[in-house]
Amino acid sequence: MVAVQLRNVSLDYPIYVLEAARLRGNLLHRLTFGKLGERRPERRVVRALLDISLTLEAGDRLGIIGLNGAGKTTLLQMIAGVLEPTLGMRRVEGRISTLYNIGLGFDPEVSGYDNIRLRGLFMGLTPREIDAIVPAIEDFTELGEFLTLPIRTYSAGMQVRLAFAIATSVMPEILIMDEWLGAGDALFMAKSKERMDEIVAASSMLLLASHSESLIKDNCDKAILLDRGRILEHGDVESVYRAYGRVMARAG
Amino acid sequence: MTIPKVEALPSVETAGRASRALEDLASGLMQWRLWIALAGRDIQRGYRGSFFGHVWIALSLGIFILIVGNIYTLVFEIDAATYVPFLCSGLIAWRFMTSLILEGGSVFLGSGGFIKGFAIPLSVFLYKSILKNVIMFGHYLVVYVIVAAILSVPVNASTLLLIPGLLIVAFNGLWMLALMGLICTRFRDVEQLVSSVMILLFFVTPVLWPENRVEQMREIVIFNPFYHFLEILRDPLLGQTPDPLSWLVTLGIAVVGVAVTFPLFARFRTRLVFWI
Repeated sequence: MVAVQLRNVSLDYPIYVLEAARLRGNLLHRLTFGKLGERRPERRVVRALLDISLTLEAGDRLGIIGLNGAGKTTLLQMIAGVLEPTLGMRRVEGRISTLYNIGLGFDPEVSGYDNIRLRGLFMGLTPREIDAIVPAIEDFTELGEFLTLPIRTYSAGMQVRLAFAIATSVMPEILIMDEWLGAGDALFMAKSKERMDEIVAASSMLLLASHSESLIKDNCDKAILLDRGRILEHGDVESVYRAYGRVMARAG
Repeated sequence: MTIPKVEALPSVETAGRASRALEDLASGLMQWRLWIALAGRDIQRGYRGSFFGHVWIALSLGIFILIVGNIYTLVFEIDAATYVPFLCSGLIAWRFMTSLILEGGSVFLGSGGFIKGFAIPLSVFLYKSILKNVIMFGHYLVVYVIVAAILSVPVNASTLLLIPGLLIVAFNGLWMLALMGLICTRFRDVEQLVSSVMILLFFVTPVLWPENRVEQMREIVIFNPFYHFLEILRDPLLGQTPDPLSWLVTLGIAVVGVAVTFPLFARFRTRLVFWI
């Protein structure tokens, strides 16, 4: 049974860059008997998610929208199991496949084929299962000989093709896509739309965070609006975009 | 943009941390295909495009042994058949043991993109690093076998004690990697500190100099824990049986190391992703 259930989830993102400066300041303060440095006892955190409750079922296609820093990526990483909630309950059932902003989880130095293999292993596939998906990926990406070259030689669009083809190659039950857009050409966009429809039709779930209104409207049937870690609006795509317009008007 | 000041939320529920950490260690072990692939990739990474490839691991050691072995044979006025196997066995044991500690700096940081991208047990990266170092040791061993054959180092029942020796060092490597991995990822200065200390320890530990050259030196070096790790690998390589004290010390360190590291691993395992 594919399901995502979040109950009152909050997540603190500790900022360790500031933490180093704080420790240094405190140390200097203590060593110089308070003459130098500053005593800053508090630890800095960013409240990346606050009191998020969300229930998704098979077939749901959720768009996640919000300004930069609203918590979109954090929410997706938390659902994917990369980040643990600081408070609250997370229950996720189903095989997850993730597609984050290009690059994460790829090795630019090795060939397209090697990246397929590596990524397949990270997704828990056996070498035989990986061999089985390779033809479909070759077919879908149309990258041909480029698959034998290191992926640092790829254009952004080619990387998107490969990343998308791998992430969707094993019919994920939950497909998580973050800022996935843009670099693909119109032909590829049409093709990927078709593939996403197939996945969702196979009673799976799509979670898509994007700044592209058309991408969300084309692929999602409901949406949430995040603002400073909170869910501000939850409902059909149209009404959530109206709320987004109000947030942007306020921020601008 | 400013970063709003917020008070940190109270920490997560602590129950079940230990069992989740054990699950991490077990499920990481199950993903052996992944860490074998990652270890192979790490080995090849440094030598991509070069003609000799990973054979360089053995070549560079061979060159070192040839030159340093000859010079120090003259300096210490020892016969080469005694000193060169001593040097070579000591050096490969030292490198194996210390790189498991030094690699703490990169064990998690070097795989940051994977840790942030996939919900993957952290232990996968520990096993990967251990395997990588075992493979390196295999390359070194080829050099040692050549040295040993040329200088007719005895091969006997004691030689087999290399296997338990390697197992003990590798097991210690597991907690050392986890501990150093956590500390070095969180506090970036530590890696620099540790690598400077390691250079010092290299000269303090009898890797280059035979401790029996100086009267009563052995009574001093037995207080150096690194000496015992060295001995459980070096003595079997030289066809000798290690002092039982060295087994005891290294096993004792394993117990203490696990006792210290496991709670830290259990506590900070899920926090590590924020440190990368």
